[in-house]
Amino acid sequence: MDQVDPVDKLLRRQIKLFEHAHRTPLELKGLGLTMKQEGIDKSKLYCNPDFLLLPLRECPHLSKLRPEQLSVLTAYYFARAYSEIATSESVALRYNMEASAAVFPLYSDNYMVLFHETAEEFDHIITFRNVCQALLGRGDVIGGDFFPHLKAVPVMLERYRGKLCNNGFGSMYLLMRYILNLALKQLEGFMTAGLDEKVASPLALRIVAGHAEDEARHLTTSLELGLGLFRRATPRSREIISGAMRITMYSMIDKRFSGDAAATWNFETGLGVLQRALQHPEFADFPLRAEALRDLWASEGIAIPAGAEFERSRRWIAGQLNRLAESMELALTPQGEAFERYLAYARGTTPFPEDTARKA
Amino acid sequence: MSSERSGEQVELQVGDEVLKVRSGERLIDICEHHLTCLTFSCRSASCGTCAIVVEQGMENLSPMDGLEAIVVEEVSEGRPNVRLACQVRVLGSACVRPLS
Ligand code: FES
Repeated sequence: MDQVDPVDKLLRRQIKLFEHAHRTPLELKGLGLTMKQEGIDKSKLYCNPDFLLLPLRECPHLSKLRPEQLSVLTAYYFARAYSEIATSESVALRYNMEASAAVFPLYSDNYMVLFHETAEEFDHIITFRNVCQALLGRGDVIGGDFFPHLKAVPVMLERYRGKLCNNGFGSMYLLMRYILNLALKQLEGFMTAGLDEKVASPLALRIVAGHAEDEARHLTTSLELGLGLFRRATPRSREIISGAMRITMYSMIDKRFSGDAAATWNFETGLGVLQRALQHPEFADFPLRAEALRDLWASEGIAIPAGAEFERSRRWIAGQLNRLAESMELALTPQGEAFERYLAYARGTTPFPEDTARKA
Repeated sequence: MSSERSGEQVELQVGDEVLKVRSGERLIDICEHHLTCLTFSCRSASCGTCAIVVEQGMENLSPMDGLEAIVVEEVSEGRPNVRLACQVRVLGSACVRPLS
């Protein structure tokens, strides 16, 4: 029988992974700066256009986009994604050291794992600021956007400060961080999937791959350390954390699992990106604004396509949320169509759709 | 990244399921596509969720790199022939099952 405490076991692995990462360092900042110098390479794509959940083939206007226009659109999506990711990382920064100091002795191994992750978050935020400047052409872009349905996360952390035992505060912070990690990984892990390397921006691919590797460690720490501390927390703290996690998970499920693709967070993001891209000089001859396009799709019955990569990303995140609920023994009450869909994805009872479509 | 889909067709057994796949594909992509019994989390060699035991055909899998070796050493607890499905490319026929 293995008697090693799960928290210690995780710690041993994470330290080795950090040592490996420090031996073969990949600072993302340089890639962000190179992108800043180059600007948008209009011969390349920055993400898989299908991931924008826009009717790029079905809409009579969008289907005529020139390759350069499609490049700008994907570049804007890439920038928007990393703006949201950087904003969620800035929330993580605020609490990372505070939560670890509440639970672990200063400079202990666990403290240092979180310290390294904090340092990486700084590297990422600087990188993504440069990415946004490179692609959107303005400076102060970080901090404006945040996964809108997860806005309650920092509020909850603040509300329960002082009401939780130290292990509970560390646990709640890390489990909330896990939810943010999931949100960004659903976005990042799939947005360049299926993109042919010949048409993809090599810098974009390197940033995605480099950041994904760091985030893999953060995701693992958040979940396993969060659960480890949850088990060590007082019953009252566990109760509070469970309640807060339930609320956050419902919010996540509602905005990500609707059968109506037009009601998902990803579509709202795609539409917001289109709105901004239409102001780019490359779109000077484009006949309609975003709202007019949306009205057109509704009146003409033009479907919002939920492509294969988007569906894969939903299956992945459903599995992760389900695992979290099971590990915490969270009883989630079924709440409507989005919840049923989430469960079907989580249990693998939804057949893999190559392409599903819903009305705008 | 897109999988290499131009390879030979090979036979891959995952748990009880026998699949026909193209060599060169990443095991995680195959398993996601076929909704097999394997689960994944980080997809980047950190969590160990996707650990598998290779029952046959280890020589037909892409070689292990440093990052994978670290996680395998920790999660295998001394059991042999353990790999991470998120890191492996299938180059020929093989038979694998989840570690736990
Ligand atoms: S999915 Fe995490 S190590 Fe493979």
